[in-house]
Amino acid sequence: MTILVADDDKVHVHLLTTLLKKRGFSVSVAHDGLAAWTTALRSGPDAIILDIHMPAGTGFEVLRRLKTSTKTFQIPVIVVSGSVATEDVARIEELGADHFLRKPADVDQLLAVIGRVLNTGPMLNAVA
Amino acid sequence: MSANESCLVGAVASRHPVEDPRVLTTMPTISAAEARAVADCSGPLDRVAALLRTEGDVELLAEMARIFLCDSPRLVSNVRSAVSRAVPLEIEHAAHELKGCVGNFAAHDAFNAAANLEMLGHLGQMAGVREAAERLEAELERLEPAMRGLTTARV
Repeated sequence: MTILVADDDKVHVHLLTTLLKKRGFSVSVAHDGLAAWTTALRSGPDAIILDIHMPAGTGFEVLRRLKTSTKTFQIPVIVVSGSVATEDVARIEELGADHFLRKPADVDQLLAVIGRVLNTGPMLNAVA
Repeated sequence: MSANESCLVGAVASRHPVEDPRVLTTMPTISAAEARAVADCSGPLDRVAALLRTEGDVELLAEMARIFLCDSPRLVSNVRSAVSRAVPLEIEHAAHELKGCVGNFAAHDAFNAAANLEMLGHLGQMAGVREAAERLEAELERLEPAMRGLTTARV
């Protein structure tokens, strides 16, 4: 299974990528909104972890496109954002995000959410 | 290859290929209890919390610190530029980016300083922005040695 991590925070991307790969996921990465949208469209990941504040197209715009395109609307999107604006959370929900976690997200919680949206059960343990 | 990509490559160059399950057993990891034993919660970052985020993987935390040290000058420059231009949205975004980055290390003081600057930008309250930016830079200066320590830390 492939997960697209769309975030311009390189430290966070490296953390998530490493932990997801430990659990057997393939991971693709996008560091801005445009790359996130085109990667999702081209490769059709099984789930997307999306930051809201990114250059070249905000996460809001990416989320809107993902959830209105017939090619991508079924892909679960987990929004991870450290936004201080309460209106942002409402907008994330309106646009159809499957889950929202405040950044910095608890890793166990994030992995549990991924397991839930992919119907693979909890992803709390690395592949041994 | 961009400077940032070079940083990332450098940070991961010595890393084991974690996709290979045989390697996982040899990776330098510590338990949560061990992490608590090396805690220094009075410092500029909470190593216990940071290590828990990496599931006790010291090497992963070191790589993250290397990436931070490579990327932070750009992030600080963005903050300075935004503050000197006095554009609230730019200040909000630049501070937000730094906040997210230090948040990965449970660097609470730097995180709070960045969050404060971000909020001032969000609210468009330019009074106090310079002081908030100075406080953020001071916290980042305090954080840097701890970050460098993470890049060489062994448990």
